[in-house]
Amino acid sequence: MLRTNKILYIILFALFITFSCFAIYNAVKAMHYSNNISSGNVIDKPQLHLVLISQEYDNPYWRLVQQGAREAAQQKGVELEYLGPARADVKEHIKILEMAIASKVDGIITQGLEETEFTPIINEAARLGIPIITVDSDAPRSKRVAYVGTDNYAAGYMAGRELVTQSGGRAEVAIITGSFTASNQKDRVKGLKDAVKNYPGIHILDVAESNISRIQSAASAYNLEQQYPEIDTFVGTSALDGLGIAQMLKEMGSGTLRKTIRIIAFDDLPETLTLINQRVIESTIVQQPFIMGRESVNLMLDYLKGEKIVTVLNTDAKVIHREDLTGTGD
Amino acid sequence: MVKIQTKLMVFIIGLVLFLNAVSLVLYINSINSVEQYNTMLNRFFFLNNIYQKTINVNSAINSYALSSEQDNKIKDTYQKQSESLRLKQGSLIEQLGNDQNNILIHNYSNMIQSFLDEGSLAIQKYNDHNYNEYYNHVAQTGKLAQFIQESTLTLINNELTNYQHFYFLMNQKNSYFRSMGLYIFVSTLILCIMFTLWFSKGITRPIHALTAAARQISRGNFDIRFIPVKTRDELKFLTDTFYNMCKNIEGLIKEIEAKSELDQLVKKMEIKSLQNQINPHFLFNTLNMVAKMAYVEGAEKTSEVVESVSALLRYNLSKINHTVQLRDELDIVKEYFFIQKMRFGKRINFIDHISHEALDCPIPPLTLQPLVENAFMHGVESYEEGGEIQLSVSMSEGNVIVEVKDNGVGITEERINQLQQILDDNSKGKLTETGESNGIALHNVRRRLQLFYQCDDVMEIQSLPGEGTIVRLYLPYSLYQKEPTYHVQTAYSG
Repeated sequence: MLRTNKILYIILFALFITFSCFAIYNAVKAMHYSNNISSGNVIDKPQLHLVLISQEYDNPYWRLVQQGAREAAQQKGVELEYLGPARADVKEHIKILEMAIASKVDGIITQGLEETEFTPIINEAARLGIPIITVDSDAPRSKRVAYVGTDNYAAGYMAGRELVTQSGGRAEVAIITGSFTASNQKDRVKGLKDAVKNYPGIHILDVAESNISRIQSAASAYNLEQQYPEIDTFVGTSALDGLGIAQMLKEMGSGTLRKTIRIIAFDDLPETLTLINQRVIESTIVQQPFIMGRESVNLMLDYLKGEKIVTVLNTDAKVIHREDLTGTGD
Repeated sequence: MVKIQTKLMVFIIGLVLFLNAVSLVLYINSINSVEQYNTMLNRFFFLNNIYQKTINVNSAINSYALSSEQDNKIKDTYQKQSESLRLKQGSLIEQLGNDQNNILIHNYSNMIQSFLDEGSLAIQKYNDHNYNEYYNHVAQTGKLAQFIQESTLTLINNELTNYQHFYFLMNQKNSYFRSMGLYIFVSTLILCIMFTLWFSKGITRPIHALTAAARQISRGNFDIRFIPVKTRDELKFLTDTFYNMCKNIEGLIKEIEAKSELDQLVKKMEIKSLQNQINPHFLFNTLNMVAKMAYVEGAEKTSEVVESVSALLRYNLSKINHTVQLRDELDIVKEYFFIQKMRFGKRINFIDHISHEALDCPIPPLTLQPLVENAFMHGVESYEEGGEIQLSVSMSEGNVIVEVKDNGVGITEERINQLQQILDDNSKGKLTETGESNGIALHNVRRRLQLFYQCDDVMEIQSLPGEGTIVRLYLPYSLYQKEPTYHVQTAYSG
């Protein structure tokens, strides 16, 4: 009787302790969450607010531009907002630009677009006192403050000279360009055409648009290949064009093509460099997107400080072959 | 002493306070949650409000041109809506700004500012009748309104994304609180069970023990065991009191038993004396008559002896049930002596040394006379001459010492031991009816004195053969001076 009572007490006490422990554990856990919606934190705009609008938001080339810009912004202590259409789209791009103007930001860095649609907006921004710097491609006839980027005509010309060197003056050429409306692409194509103008052995068969998409580029290249079987050289004038062409060739397989097709690409995305290493792409015209981003921010800040600045800041472009790559790829 | 009530109150108040504290915590938490939900909703409402107002202002601007000059309704609407939108825009950053949406909110605020500026420009151009400019600005406001709508959606989206996380955290917190409440509920339940068990055991165990003890007592057994109670409450007091009461009753019963024994002894003595005297009243009356006759006939000595015998007889008959004083006893012993003197003449001598201060000492009747009779019968009866009986009464240390001394034949040591044996045996309550008459007389006297004075050492016998015998009584007189004689009276009342 007494023993069973004792056992009962012990069991009850153990249960009590256990449940109390559980309760305390839960209480501690619950107290751990001190979640409050942060509201009413008045954050004054402490710094300049710049906006970088890219051609395409999630594009590797534009990521590099963004990184450069962000580095400069961090160094100078200004706020940088990176915007851009999800897919390359002129209308969307203009809308983002207009929204940025409506948001009364302190400065806008954007890719220059086809002048007719683009210029009035830049002029409107200038009227409202918002400086705009074009990057990567220019809008020279607008009231943009400055242009930072490759001299695209020169880069295109560089590609043309490279084509001549590679082909020895005889080539059936197809060009894939990022956009028919983007000034940088237009300048590059123009430069390329001008460079090979005096070589009768080189024929530019056609120019196709990729809308700076790899898949579109591959599709365009395929169409051109079907249309002009004699093609032996592809030139891609935007960053992903070379990759798209290479992908198309790979998918068609070397069996169906009895000739080697040389590719001249633009920009030095890691994949492009790998393909050069694998001898799929012959050479590439390399721009400096990181520097473009960085310098555009620096230039904008100089302008906002009231300093006089250069209106065109050309960044270097150069040709890269397999021999120039040391230790890259496999 | 901790009262049972105090214990109960402390426990219940403690429990209630604890549970209230728990529910207070839960209540505060739930209020907190509701407030957070409210904040969330208010933010959405705020954004939605801005959105609605933007639409209203935009439509007002659009229809401004269409309204007639007299119709001020649209103008009023525009004024009101744009004014409240401006107010909203003013408090926007304060209301919604935080670390995550800093840029967005600033952009949004500026966008509303642009929209309002553009709107007022449009109205201004319209009032200036510059309709071309007006339409341009109206188009611009429309665009801006669209931007604001998009930004609103983006902000709401962002808020939703934030709140999803927040909501998840809050839910987790609440679920922790829920299980905490559950566990507290279970553990307090167990605590209550434990307390109830302990508490009821604390009450029922002593009560069971008390019941058992009471049953034992009802059977007449007062020799109960002590009931141990661990608690320090009323029950402890109750059991202790009960135990003490039992012990008291037990003591009282023993006392009563002793007294009833005394009564019994007295009765036996009475019966014996009645048996010894055949028709004593008749005898007594006859003796009185004989005394008178002797006196009338001139035999004065005879008359005196007969009167003494008569006094002795009266004393024996009348005082048996009462306490008497030592004085009365001594008187009767003298009467006895007088008779014996008549009988033995010069053969014996009687000497008394009486201390007068001891004469008031209470004493059971017929105490001294049997001793003196013994001294005659067994001591000096056989002497032809020179027999002497000495009776002395003295005080020593509050005791009255009565000494009956004879110079008779004495008692052998063997005989003394034998007597002692008889006395001891009989003192243990067995009145053996042996033929030893003197033994019985000694025993009877001694036992009555023991019971009367409630002490053992009342009699001492010293004897040497051929030298004589001393019987010494120790009567604790001082005891009776302090304490009245109610004891005795109760003892003899039966």
